Amino acid sequence: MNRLIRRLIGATLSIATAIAGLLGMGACSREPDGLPEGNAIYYWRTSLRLDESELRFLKRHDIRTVYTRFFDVVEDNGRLRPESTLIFTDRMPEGIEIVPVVFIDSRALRSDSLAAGLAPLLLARVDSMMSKNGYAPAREVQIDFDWTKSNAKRYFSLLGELADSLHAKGRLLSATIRLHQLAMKAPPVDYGALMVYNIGNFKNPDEENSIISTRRLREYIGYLSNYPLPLRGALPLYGWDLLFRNNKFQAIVRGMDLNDTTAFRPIGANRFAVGKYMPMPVGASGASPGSRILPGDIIRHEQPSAATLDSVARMLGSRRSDIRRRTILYHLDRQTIESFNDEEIEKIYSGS
Amino acid sequence: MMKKLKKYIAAVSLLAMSFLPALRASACGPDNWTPYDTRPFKLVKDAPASDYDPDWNGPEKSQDETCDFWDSYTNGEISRDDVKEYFHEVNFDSFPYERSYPLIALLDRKGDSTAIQYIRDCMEFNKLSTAYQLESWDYERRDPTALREFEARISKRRGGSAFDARYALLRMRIAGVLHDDEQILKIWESQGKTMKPSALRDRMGGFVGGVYYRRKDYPTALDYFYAAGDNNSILWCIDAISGPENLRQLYDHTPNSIATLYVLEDYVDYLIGATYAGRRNNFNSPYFYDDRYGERDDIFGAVAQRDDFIRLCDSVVADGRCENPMAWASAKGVLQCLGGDAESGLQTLREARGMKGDETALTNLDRMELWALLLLSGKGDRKFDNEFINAFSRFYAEAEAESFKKSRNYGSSVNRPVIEMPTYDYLTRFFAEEAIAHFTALSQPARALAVMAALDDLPISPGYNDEFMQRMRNNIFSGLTEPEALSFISLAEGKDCDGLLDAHFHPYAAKYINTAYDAFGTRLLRASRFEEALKYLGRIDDKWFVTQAIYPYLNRYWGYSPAYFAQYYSFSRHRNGEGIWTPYRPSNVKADFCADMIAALSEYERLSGDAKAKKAFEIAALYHYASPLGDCWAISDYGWSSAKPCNEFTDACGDWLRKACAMATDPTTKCKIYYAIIATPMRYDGPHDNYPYYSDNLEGRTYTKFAIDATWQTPKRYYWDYKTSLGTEAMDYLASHRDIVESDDVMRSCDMLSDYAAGKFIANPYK
Repeated sequence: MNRLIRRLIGATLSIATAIAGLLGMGACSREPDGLPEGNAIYYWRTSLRLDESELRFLKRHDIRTVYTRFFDVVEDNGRLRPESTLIFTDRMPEGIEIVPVVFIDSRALRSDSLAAGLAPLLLARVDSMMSKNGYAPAREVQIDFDWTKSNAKRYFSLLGELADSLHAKGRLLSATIRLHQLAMKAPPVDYGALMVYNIGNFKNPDEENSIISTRRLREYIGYLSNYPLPLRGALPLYGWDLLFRNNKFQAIVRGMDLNDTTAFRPIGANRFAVGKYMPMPVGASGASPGSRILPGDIIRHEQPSAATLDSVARMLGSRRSDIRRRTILYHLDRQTIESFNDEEIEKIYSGS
Repeated sequence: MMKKLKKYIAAVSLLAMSFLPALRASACGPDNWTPYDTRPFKLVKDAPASDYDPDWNGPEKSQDETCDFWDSYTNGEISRDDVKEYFHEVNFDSFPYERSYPLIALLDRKGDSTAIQYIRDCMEFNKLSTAYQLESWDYERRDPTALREFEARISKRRGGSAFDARYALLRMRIAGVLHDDEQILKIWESQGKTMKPSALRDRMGGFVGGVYYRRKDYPTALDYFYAAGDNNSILWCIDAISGPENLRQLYDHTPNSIATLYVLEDYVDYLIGATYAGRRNNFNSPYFYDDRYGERDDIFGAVAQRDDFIRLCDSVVADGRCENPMAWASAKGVLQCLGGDAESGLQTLREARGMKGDETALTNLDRMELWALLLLSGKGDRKFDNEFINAFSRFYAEAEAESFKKSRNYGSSVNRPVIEMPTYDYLTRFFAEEAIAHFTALSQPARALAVMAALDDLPISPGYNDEFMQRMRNNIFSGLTEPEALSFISLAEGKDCDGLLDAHFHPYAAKYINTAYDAFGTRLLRASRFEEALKYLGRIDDKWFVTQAIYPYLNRYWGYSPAYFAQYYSFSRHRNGEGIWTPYRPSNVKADFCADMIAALSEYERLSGDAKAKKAFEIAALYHYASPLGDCWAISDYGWSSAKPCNEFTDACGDWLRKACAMATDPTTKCKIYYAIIATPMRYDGPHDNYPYYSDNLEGRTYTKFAIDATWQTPKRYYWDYKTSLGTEAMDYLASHRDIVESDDVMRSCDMLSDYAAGKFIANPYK
C-alpha cells in the first residue's frame, strides 16, 4: 500500500513538473499538484454532434473540459475489440479540452490473457482518434470500468501500464470510481472521478430513486475522508421513467407526459399508475417487440432535483475539499440539460 | 454450426433485410403471456415473406429470386443448387471469384464481361462497406469517399437490362451503409418505384421503409415493410403506433392502410386479453388456469376506453370511407361481448356479415361469431345451444382437416401479429380457454371437461399434444370435488345428459371414459378406499393401460408375490433399471392391487398373533411398493419425481409397520420389521434438531429415515433422527440381535447398521 502511495506521489510530482509548462501555455488551469479543476461535463453519445442549445450550455457555464466517450472495449470470441466508436461529426469548440474516456465492459477483463496487451492498443487508438480528427494529443485519458474484488488486480495492472505510458509523456490518467468502490483499494491513477449516480438498483420496484439519493450516499460517505486518491465529483443531470408491471421491471421509457391525467394517476412522490393502453415509446430500453404500456403498470419517475444535487455537492465538499475543485456533470444532451435552468446549473457547479 | 451461422450472417448482410437499428432486432417474449396473446382477433393476412427455409434460415423469397435470376440468365445451364451454394459463400470479407464454382466457371468460359463485372462490383461493395463499418484497433476515420466514388462508378455502368435492377439495389445498399436517406428515396423514385413487382423490388422497398421509420412516418414505413415481408420491422411500426388515440388519427389519415388494420387488430386483442386477466381471479379451480399465464393487475382503463372505442367503430362504419367496415363492425361486436352483452355482440357480428370486407375479415368474423355463441350457450336457450353446436362442429371439422405442418407454422409469441393462425390454434389456444372458463362460471364442470376431451381428440398430430387430456385428468384426480368429477363420468357414460350440449359433447367425453375411471379410481385408491376405487378401476379396459405412459411402471406389479415380498422386505427400490419390463400385454394392475389390498386387509382382520403381525408387514410392503418409493409407484401416481418422493401411501406404510412392530413377537419377524422401519421414510411430527430434515413438497410433513445402504436409491436427504424413539428402538433391537442380522444377506450388508452396532454411528454427518 505504502509502495503504491509513494509511486502515486512520485508520479504526481513528475506530472506536476510537466504540467507546470502547460499552465504557462494557458490552455487550461491546473492546481499546483497538476490535477484539473473547473467545470466539466461528460459526452456519452456515439456521434459527436452538438446543437445550439448544447453549445450555448458549454459557453454559458464556462465548461473547460468535456470528458468524451471514445469507444468501448468488449470481448468478442476470446479477443478484445473496440466497439461503438465515436463518430466525429461536429468539432468541439475551441478552448474546450477533450478528455477521451474509454469504457471497458466487465467481460473484457475476465482473464489475464484477455487483458494482456490491451494498454498499448487502447492508448494508440485514443491518440489515433485525436490526431486523425484534427486534435492535439489528449493530455489526459480516463478509464471507466466497474471493477470488483475479483478483477481489481487485473484492472489495476492495466491502469499501471497505462499510467506509466502516459506519465512518461507528462499526461494524466484518471478513472471513474463508483461509490461502492470507495470501500476497496484505490486504483493506481492520478485521480478518480467519483460517480455520484446510479446509486441504487433501478430494476428494484421498491427503490426510491436509483439515480441519486442523499440517504444512499450517506452509506458510503464515511469512506471519503480517508480515501487515498485525489477525487473529483461526477454528478447526474439525467432522468428517466422506469416501467414496472406486477412489481417487475419492464423498460426504461422516456418522453412520457406524466402530467396527462387521462393516462397517469399519481400514486406517490414519484410514482404514477398507468390508466390506459399505450404504445411503448420508440427507443424504450429493455422493451421487447410487441411490448405495450398497460393499465395498472407503474411508472417511477427519477430525476435528480437541483436541490438534491446541491445538497449532494455540499455533502461531498464538506468531507473532501478536492471534490469541489471540479464537478463533472453527466451528461451533455439537450433533453438532459434543459431540465435545469442556468442558475441551478451554476449552483451545482459552484457547490455552494 | 459456425458455417451455417456465417452463411446466415452473410446472407442477411447481403440482402440487407435488417432495416432498423440492431438494438431493436433482439426479440424476447413478454413475461405475462396469456392465451389471448395468440391474437384471436385477426384482420391482417400474414406478410408474404413470413415463410422461412429451415435449412438456411434466410429470407426464402430473396433466395428464390436470386436463384430464379441466375437460372434465367444462364438459360438453366447452372443448377439452382449451384447458384444457392455460390451466393451462400458471400460475406463481408470474401466474395469468392473462383472457377471451382460452376457459376464462375461458366461466366469465365463464356467471357460474359457484364456478369463478371457485376460480381466483381458486389465484391468491391463488400470490401468497401466492411472497411467503412469495421471497428479495429487500427483506427481509421470513417471516410465515405471510397463508397461514394464506387457508387458514382457503378451508376454509370452499362450493365444491360439484365443487371439494371440489381445495380439499383446495390446503389441502395451503398446509400444504406452511408445512412444517406435522401439517396435511398432518390433511387427508389427513379428506378425502384417503376420496377415490376419482385422480391428485388421489395428489398429496395424495405430500405425505403427504413427511411420512413427513421422519419417517424410509421404508417408509410409499415406499408413498405409489409410488401417486403419484413415482419420484425412491421412489429416495430405497430409498437410505435398502437393504441386507440393513434387508431383514431390513423383512420382519419389513412382509413384503408395496413397500419390501420394492424392497430385495430392489436387493440381489440389487447382488450380481450385485459378482460380475461381481470376476471380470471373469479375462477376458483386451480387446474383450469395455468399460473404461467400470469396476470395483469388492473384493467380500469380498459372499460372506459372500450366505450370510446365502440363509438369510433360506429363512426367508421357510418362514414363510408372505409373499404373494410366488416372489420370495424366485428371489433364492435367483440367489445359488446366483452362488456357482458353477448346477445347484442352476436347481433352486431351478424350485421357485419352483410358489410364489405376482405377474406381475412370474414374468417375473423366467423371465429368471433363462434365465440359469441359460446358465451350464449349453456344458459338454457336451445336456439343458442343449437347454433353454438353447429358452429363448433364446423370449426372442429376445419381443424381436423388441417395438416400438422400448418398448425406448427405458428411462430414465437413475438411474431404473433404477423403469423397466420390456423383453426387448430384458434380452437386450442383461444376458444378452449374461453369455453372452459365459460362452463366453469356456469357451474358446468362436466362440459368444461368435455371441451378438453374434444380438443385433445383433435387428430392434428397424434401424440403431439395431450395437454388437454392431462388437464382433464388432473381435475378429476384432484382438482374438482368428487361430485364435480363424477358429473363428467356421468356425461361420458351417457347418464344424466341434459339437452343438446350434453348430447353433442357425450361422444367426446365417452372416448375418455377410461381416463376418467382411472383418474377417479386412483383418487379413491390413494385415499385407501379400495372397494370404492375398484368400482371405477375395475371398469377400465385392460388394453387402455397399454397406451398409457405409466404402463411400463405399472407393469412391474406383476412381479408381486409373497416370494417377492420376502425377498425385498428391505423396502428398497430394486427394479429401477431398464430391461426389467415385461412385454406389453393387457392387464389392469390398479384393479389387481385394489383386490389384493382388500383381500389382505380382510385376512388381517381374521388373523392374530405373529401371523397378524406378518400380514400387517405384508400390507405395509404393498403400500410401500405402490408408493413413490416403491418399484410400482405408478399405481398411486402419474409421474415420479425426486422432488416429491412421498405420498399418502408412504404414510400408510409407516402406520402399518408400526402396527406390525407392536404385534410381532418372533425375533426374526421383528428384526425384519425394524429393519423396514429404519429403511423407510417415516412421518415425523416431533421436535427438530438442527439436522437437515426433509419437510418441503409434502404439505409441511416431515419424514425421516436412515440412509440405509448403498443400494438405497432415494435421495440422501433423508436422515436419521436419532431422537426418534422408534428409530432408536429399532437400531438397539437390531444391534442386540446380531445373530439374526448376520444370517440375513440384506441386513448384513448394511454398513450403517454395523457401524451402529460397533458404536461408530454418527447420527447426522452434517451436524
